[in-house]
Amino acid sequence: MTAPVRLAVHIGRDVPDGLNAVLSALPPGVQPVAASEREALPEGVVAHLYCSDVRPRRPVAPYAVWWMAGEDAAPAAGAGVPVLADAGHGRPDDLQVSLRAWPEHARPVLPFTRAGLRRVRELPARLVGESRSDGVSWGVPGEQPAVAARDTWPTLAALASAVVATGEDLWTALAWAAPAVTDAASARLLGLTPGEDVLVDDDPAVRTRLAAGLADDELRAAGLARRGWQAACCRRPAAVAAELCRRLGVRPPAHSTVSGLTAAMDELGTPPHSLVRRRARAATAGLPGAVTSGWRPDREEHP
Amino acid sequence: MDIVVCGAQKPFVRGGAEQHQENLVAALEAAGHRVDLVRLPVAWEKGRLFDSPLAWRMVPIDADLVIATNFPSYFVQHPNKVVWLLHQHRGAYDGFEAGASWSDFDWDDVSLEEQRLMTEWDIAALSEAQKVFSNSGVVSRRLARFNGLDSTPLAHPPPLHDVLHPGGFGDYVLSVQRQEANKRPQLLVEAMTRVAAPTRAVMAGRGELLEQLRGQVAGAGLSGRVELPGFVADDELVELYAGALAVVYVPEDEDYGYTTLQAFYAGKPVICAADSGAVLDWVEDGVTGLVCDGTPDGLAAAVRRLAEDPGLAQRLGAAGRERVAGLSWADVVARLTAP
Repeated sequence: MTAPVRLAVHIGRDVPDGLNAVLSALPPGVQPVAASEREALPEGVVAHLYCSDVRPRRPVAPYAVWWMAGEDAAPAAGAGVPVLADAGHGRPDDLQVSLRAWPEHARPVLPFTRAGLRRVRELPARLVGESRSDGVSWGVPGEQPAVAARDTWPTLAALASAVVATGEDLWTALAWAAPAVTDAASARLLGLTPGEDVLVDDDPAVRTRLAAGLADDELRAAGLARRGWQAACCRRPAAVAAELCRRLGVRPPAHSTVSGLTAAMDELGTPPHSLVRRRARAATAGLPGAVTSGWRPDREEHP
Repeated sequence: MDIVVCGAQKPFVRGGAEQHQENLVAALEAAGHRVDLVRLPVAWEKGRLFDSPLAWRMVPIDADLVIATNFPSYFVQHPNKVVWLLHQHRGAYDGFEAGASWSDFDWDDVSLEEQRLMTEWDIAALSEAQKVFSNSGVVSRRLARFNGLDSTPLAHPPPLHDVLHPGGFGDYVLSVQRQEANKRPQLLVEAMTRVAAPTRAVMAGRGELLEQLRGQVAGAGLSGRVELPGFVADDELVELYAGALAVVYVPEDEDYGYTTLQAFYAGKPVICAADSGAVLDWVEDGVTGLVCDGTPDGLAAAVRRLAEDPGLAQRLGAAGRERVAGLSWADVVARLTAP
């Protein structure tokens, strides 16, 4: 039987908001175990995760530090020591965790594809969507925008050349890889880098102008869309857990139950009902386990 | 280091990408590395678009470094993956946008979802790489515009660079390419009907349009003034370059194009079109060659200009030769293998 690979987790009185979600999302075959300096370590521990309020003077390497929200001083991240934090509390290079729900059905739609979707729907070539506290609007830059129902926001997030949004609506926009403009507080809360992941300004009129500029600049819009989407993806607990393992050199045991074509397609973001999943299944129908070695009992298999 | 170079190949087709991969292997070996070239077949049509990327995803590669080149070899998984991108699946990107005959993507929801997924897969696979180089500014710009990804153009010497040499400026323009639609060989044939004797054209290379072009030449009364010899051996090609007045290369949105660089190594100016893609990374109008508007009239005017002023051809060719003087495989290897 394969020995377990364990991550020792050292927690003090306070538990970070995102800790449970990240530990629950560790790759199959990697087990979190509670640990303290006063007790012997369980067998199979290959790395440590310390909350910053209980980090010893000489941590056992390899290790990561979870920067607690109440502590002002950021951990001095030594060479190669990953730092985790709740989103909005970390620095740009930290692994920041967001517990916001990922919008159902969201897919990254980059500017070239969204321009094609507008074309086949006979929508304007340049279209900006804007979400404000008093509602949602959309229109061609420079023209009077049309008011829309609030529940149309995901559609606008998927189709618009650029969007203006804050708070939850920004998160939705990033999940659809919309080139986005927001305010400083929203960018900070999601741990986004202004100018890289989103454009930022606190003046609503300026935000509208910035979005209009993005609608005319496909190259810049594509870069923002990709980086904003990847930044949001990176905040999801499963992505943080995977990156934490990668940086700590924690590898799941060989012959993990999650391998094979299903896992490969999952990692690439393949939608459940996509054609390629059916083709992979058909191609391996006579090879038991080729696809189903990645089958997970909690998920529907896709015929 | 143990290095695996990964490349895709359409069976029974051999072109610049295959030469590029083999030359890279040779350069890496010359630098003292142990190198193997791994290729998997690729299919370009939409219905089988994701099959080969998925196959690459599952290929186990044990090596110190993996260098992936063309679509979809960069889907290979390896902790030390470097991509030197020759091209993506062009039918899903620029070919789709341009409505090219070789792209089977249409403006409908199925094509757009396939294109969207291709974009997402490309971002995932290329973002895993430690470094992403491209073979030209055009390929980098496509990657930035379609996928929002940054990359660094990394040029390399073309085949025969070590034997190509300048010579006299003869009475013919030379074209060296596969005779296929995206190379637009018919433009030169049509242009030659507007160029007076004794200026000739030699169009070297095989391809699916070869017989059709021969018919076009005969029909236009250009036999004897436009030669279509098909395959030309390397040593003969070197001498053809050396004796040419200029080299004509007017492909549509080329990714790299060895012909341009080979012409420069031979000290010849290049006549290209304004939409020739990466050729324009090298050909600067009036400096290293002439950029025409891509019409037979425009191309004919450029040929006539050089035929009437061989001194200009000489100056432009010399500038082109200077432009490629810094290219070296040793530099390419150093950058690809740098930690």
